[in-house]
Amino acid sequence: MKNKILSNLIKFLLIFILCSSTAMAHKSKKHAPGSNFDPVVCIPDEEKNGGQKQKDWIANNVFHTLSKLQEACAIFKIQQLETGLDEATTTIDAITKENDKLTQSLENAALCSDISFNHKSKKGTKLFAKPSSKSNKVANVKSGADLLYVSDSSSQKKWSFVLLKNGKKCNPGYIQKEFISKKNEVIKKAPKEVKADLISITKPNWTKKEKLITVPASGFITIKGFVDTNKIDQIIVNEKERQINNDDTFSFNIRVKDAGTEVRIVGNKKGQTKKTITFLIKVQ
Amino acid sequence: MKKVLTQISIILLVLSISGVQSAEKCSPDFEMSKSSIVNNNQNDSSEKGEVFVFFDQSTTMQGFTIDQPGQENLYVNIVDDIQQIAENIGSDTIYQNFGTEINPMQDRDVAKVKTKKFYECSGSSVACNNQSSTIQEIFKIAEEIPEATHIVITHLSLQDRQLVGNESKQIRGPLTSILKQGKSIGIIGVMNSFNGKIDNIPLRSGEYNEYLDAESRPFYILVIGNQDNINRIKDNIEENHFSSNKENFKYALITSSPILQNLNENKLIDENNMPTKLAREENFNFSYIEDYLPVYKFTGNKQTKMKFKIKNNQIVVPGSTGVSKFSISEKVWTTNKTKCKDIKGWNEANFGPLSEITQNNDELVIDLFTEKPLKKLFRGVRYFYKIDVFADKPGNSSEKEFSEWSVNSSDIDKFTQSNPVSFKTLNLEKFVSILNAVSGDTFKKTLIASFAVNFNLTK
Repeated sequence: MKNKILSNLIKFLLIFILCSSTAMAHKSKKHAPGSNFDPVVCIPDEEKNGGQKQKDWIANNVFHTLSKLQEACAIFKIQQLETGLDEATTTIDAITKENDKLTQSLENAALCSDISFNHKSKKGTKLFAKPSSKSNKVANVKSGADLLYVSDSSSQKKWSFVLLKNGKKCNPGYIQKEFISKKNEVIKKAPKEVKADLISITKPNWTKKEKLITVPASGFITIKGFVDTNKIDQIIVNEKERQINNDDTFSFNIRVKDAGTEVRIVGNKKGQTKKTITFLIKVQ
Repeated sequence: MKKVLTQISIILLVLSISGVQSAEKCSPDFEMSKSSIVNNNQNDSSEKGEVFVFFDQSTTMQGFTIDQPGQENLYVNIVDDIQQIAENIGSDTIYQNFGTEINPMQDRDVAKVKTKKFYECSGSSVACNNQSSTIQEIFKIAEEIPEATHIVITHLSLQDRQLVGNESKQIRGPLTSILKQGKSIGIIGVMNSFNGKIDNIPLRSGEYNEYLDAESRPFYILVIGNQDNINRIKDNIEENHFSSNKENFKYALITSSPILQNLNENKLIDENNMPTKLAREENFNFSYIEDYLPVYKFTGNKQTKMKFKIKNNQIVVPGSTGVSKFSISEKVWTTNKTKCKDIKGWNEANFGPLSEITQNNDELVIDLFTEKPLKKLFRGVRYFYKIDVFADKPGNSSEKEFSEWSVNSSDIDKFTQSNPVSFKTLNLEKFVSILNAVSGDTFKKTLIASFAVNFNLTK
C-alpha cells in the first residue's frame, strides 16, 4: 500500500515537475532582450587569463570541441550578425521607399530625351545659375556635351541660356557663348499624325482643311508640306513638278493675288495619281 | 519749155555721172558684218511693271537697325529710299519677307523693316536658330515673272551647301533663264554699321559659331530686272549717300552681255580713233560706206603708224563683268591701180594675221600691221584692209570688285579669331563668280566695231 502511495506520489511529482518546468524559469533584467538567459559574453583571446586559455586548449586539443568560452563567442557573433541583418533590412526598406518616391517624382518631370539638341560645347566649362561666372555653378559641362540653345541673355550679350543634356534629364543654366557651337541643321521628321495623310500641308495652316488657306497680304508665300513617300513618289503643283526632299517634305512658292489663287497638288506613284488636293489661297 | 527740159536733162546727166563715179571700184565687194547686240537697257514696255521687294528677315539683320557708336548707319535711310524708288518705278509694289521661307507683308509691316522688332524670331528656339536666307527661291520667282523688277535686301552670307550641287542648280537654272530673257542682275553693296550677332559662321568641325564684336558689316541690294531700273536704283543710292566717298559702296552688274553697243550702228567711229598723224597723210579722207563702215583713205608709206583705239567705256556696260578677251577678223584686198577711177576690180589677198589687239584699263588698241609690217608689203599697190573687232569672252571684274568684302568658308574661322571690327560676307566672291559663270555661258561672241583702211602704199 505504502509502495503504491509512494509510486503515485512519485508519478504526481514527476507530472508536476514536467508540467511546471516553464514556470520554474525566472525573469531577470540582466537577460538578453526577448530571452530568459543572460546575454552571452564573449571574452576575446587577448583578454583571457591563463586558466581560460588552458581550458580552451584542452577542449580543442584533447576533446576536439569548442570550449564554453569559445562557444559563447561563436553565439555572440551569430547574435551580432542577426542584429546587423535586421538593421540592414531596415535600411534597405528605407532606401527602397526613398527610391520609389524619387522615381515617382522623376516620372512627373519632363524628359529631355525627346529633344533635338542643336548645340554642343566646344570646350569643357561650367553651367551657371546666372549669366556671370561668379554665380552658383549648376553643372560641369564636358567638351562636346549636347546643349539646347534657348535664348541669349538680355543683359549679358556674351551669355546664353541653355539646357545641358544630362542623361534623360536637362540642367538649365547660363553658359558663355564662346563655349558653344551650333550643330549641323536638325532635320525635322514628319509628325505621325501628319504622315497619316498621303499629302499634308503643314504651313500655312488650313482655314478649312484641304479647301481654303487665308493669308494676311497678297504676294509670294512658301507652302510647305509632307508626303507619304511609301505611297507617293511625285508631286505636281499647278502642272509643275516639285522636289520631294529626303525628309519627305516638299515646298513651293506661289503668288497670292488680291483676288486669290487656286492651287492644285497632284500626288503620283509610278505615274498613277494617288491623291489630288485643290484649294484656294485668299487674302484676308 | 525747152529751157526747162534742158535743165532737167543737165540735172539727169549730172546725176548719172555721179552714179558712174559711185560705181567706181574704190572699195572691193564684201558683205557688211552686222552686230547681233540685244540692247538690255531698254524696257520692252512703256508701261511700268510690277516690283517685288524682298526683305531678309533673319535675326542677324537686326544688327543693321541698331546704331553702333562711331559708325555711320545708312541701312534705315537706304531701306526708305528703296521703298520710295520701288513705288516710283513700278505700277504695283508687292512686299515680302524671307528667310527659310517667303511670306507676304502687310503695309503696316513694311514700315517696321527699319526697326529691330521686325527681325525678332517668333518661332521655336530650334527654328529661330536654324535660319538661312533662301536667295535661290527669289531667283526662281524672278524666273517665273521676268517682266517684273525684283529687289532683295539681304546680308548675302551664303553657306557652302547653298553654292554647290542641287542648291547651286537652283541659282544657276533660273539665272540662265533670266539672263537669256535680256534681264540683268545688279548687286549693290553697302558697308554699314552693325551692332548685333553674326550667326551661322561655319567651323571646320562642321558646327557653327557666332560673332558679336563686329562694328560694321556689308548688306546688299540685289536688283533683278532691266538695266534701266537697276541703274536707277543704283544711281539713287550712290547719289544720295556716296556722292563724296565711295569707299563703302560697291556695285556690279551681271548681264547676258557686258557689251554696251556696236560702234558702227551709232556711227561712233571717227578720225580720232586713229592717231592724229594719220590725218596729215597725203590724200587723207574719212568717210562711211553704206552709212555703216568707216574707212580711212590715204596714201601711206612704210613709216605710217596706224593704231586704232576704242575707249572701254564706249563698249563695256559700266559695272559689268567687262570683257576678258577680244579678237579681230581681218580681210585684205589689193589692186595695182592706185587711183580709184582706174580700178576695175580688187583681188582678195591672204597675208595671214597682220595686226594685234590689246586691252588696257582704259582702251582697246588695234595695232595695225604689227604682225606683218608695211615695209614687207608690196609698194605701188592699193590696199583695202577691213577689220572686224569682236568681244570673245566676258571678264570677271565684278568678282574682283567684291573680293575685298568676301571671306571663304575655309578662312572664316581664322578670320573670326582675329576679332575683326569690320566683318566680311561669307562666300560672296563665290556667289558673284557663279553669277558671272552663268553670264559667261549665256554670252555669245559679239561684233563691237568694224572699220577699214584704204591706202596706196608708196615706194
